[in-house]
Amino acid sequence: MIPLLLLLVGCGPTEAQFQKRADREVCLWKQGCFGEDYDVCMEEAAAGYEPPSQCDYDRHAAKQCVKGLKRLDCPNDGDLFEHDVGMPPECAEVWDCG
Amino acid sequence: METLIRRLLAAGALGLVLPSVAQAFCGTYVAGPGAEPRNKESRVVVARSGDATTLTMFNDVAVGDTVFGLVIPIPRPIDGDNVRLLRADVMADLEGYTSPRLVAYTCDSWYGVDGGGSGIPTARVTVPPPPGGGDTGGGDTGGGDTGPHDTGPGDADGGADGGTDSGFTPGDAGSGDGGGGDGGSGDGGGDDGDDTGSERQPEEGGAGYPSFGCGGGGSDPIHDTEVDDEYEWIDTGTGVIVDEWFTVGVYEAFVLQAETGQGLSDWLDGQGFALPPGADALLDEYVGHDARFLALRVELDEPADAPVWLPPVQVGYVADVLSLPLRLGTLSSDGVQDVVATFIADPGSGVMEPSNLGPASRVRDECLLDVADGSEFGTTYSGLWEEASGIPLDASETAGPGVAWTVEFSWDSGKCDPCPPDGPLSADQVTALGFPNAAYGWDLTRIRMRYTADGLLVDPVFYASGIQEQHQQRYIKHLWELESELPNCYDPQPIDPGTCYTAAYWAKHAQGETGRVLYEEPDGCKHHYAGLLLLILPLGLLRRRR
Repeated sequence: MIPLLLLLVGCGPTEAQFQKRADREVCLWKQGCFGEDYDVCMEEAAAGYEPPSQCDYDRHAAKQCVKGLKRLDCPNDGDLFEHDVGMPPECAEVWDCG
Repeated sequence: METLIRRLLAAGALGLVLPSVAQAFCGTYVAGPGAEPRNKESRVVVARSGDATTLTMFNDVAVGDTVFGLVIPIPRPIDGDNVRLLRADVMADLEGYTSPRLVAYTCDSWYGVDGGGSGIPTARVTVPPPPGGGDTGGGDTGGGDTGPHDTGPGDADGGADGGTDSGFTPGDAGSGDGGGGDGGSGDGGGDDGDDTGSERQPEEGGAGYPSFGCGGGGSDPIHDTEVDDEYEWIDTGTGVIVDEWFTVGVYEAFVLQAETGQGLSDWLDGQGFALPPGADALLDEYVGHDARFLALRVELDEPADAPVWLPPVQVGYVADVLSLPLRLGTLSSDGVQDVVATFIADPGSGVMEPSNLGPASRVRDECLLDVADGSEFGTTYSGLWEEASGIPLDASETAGPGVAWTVEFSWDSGKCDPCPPDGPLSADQVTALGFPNAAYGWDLTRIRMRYTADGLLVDPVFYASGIQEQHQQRYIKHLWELESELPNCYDPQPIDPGTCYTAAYWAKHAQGETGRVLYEEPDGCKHHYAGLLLLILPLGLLRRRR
């Protein structure tokens, strides 16, 4: 029983955890790439957050989303070609609203 | 056969711009009693390299008569080779490139993570006149029974044919290597010109004029000038000397010099054109500076009750000081007038600014607007400009004399961010606008001015500030997720602004509450812009958030 619980817990963050971790990664990215103020970013991010009430939360997708956000590159000025800065697709799957 | 008036009306019907704005132009309309020409919109372009100056004027007019005229003070003597017509589509492209714009961004395009980086304009304040300047230009309309009537010198039919087929006027007066001289503007490859025409030389100072004679490279966008080479007429009664008399497209043109404003007024009156009251004293000032007057006579097939666009007319001259003769236009003002002037200047000139109109007004921009596309944006921008200028458009609300100006666009050599769908101006278009050395780059400034008739006490004088500032009047279509990036143009400001890519964003995204930007295509269809984004993104410079 205990290993199963640990497995469930370890498969991804809760909604509240996701909010903090995702926001932290995004605000670090904005700070590093665009010079945004980290604290202001975190404040604005938290203020607008309201978890969807009628949607299914996917912990695994949330985990993959945060991992993807950690790996975000900065867009390159003057880059004439497509690049890999795209947002992690799992982030769009954290909630399934049908 | 389609008549001239129909063509002009067709052009005017699509030339929608800030409909409530009473605009003005360089000079003034004149007409017989009761005709009362009215001008709602004008666009002025000044291309200047050194002292060589090319002034392009694109005006609409509503007039109760078929015959009317324009009188434009020119600081130096000119002749027929200094006057030509520009295709209207060049002016339309210039308008699309420089006018204030409403732009749709998503998080992806705002942060440049989409490979393209720039948003796509969804609307601009103005909808430029339709392409097809040839339809309204002198070439197509100059001949036969629909163009200017055969009152001009020489062979009117010849003028029409030339306008359609052969580019500029023959003759080398003041053009190409001869008259073009150091000004060099618009010489259009003078070496290849046709030397079989006029032997007429421009009067004093003709060397150095931006001249359009001798065919060559500029022949495509420009219609022809038909010149009476021997013409000079001295009216002893009024003291007016008619230096030149020629036709250019639909215009019958006179270059006049006068001893007094009264004399000029009398001469025009004798031609059936009455100047507005108070003109004499003002004309005296121009006469005192040895100015010439370009009088353009237009004869329509029928009165234009609704505004019609006149073909853009271009005048080249050399001037030490760059000034726009706007005060003459205030004589027929019914209160408040707007002028939009675009300057194309040598690289390094920076932003062109008026030196005698006081400080600039700053029109709020770089903010979120919750408006639909098209006319609603035009109305909104009009309100923002009115607020910034402090001069209500309704003259009855104006407290007193007023002058205001603002820079709506400044950029160098055909750049923009984001660019309109048709892209920036090409070097060929800039050349057609009268700038001679487009291959080496240029600086472009668009200035909007507003003034009351009693507020504009002097003609504005412009100078090259040397300030390199990339600016365009840009408004971003409101999106929840962009609220933390930009303020709302109008209060209230959001208490909990939306953000991009945070948990709140993904939560909204899952519920379909983000990225819903509808981009209205010219065909009237609405497409889901966010969905199209990945398909239509151009490869281009990534836009970093400023």
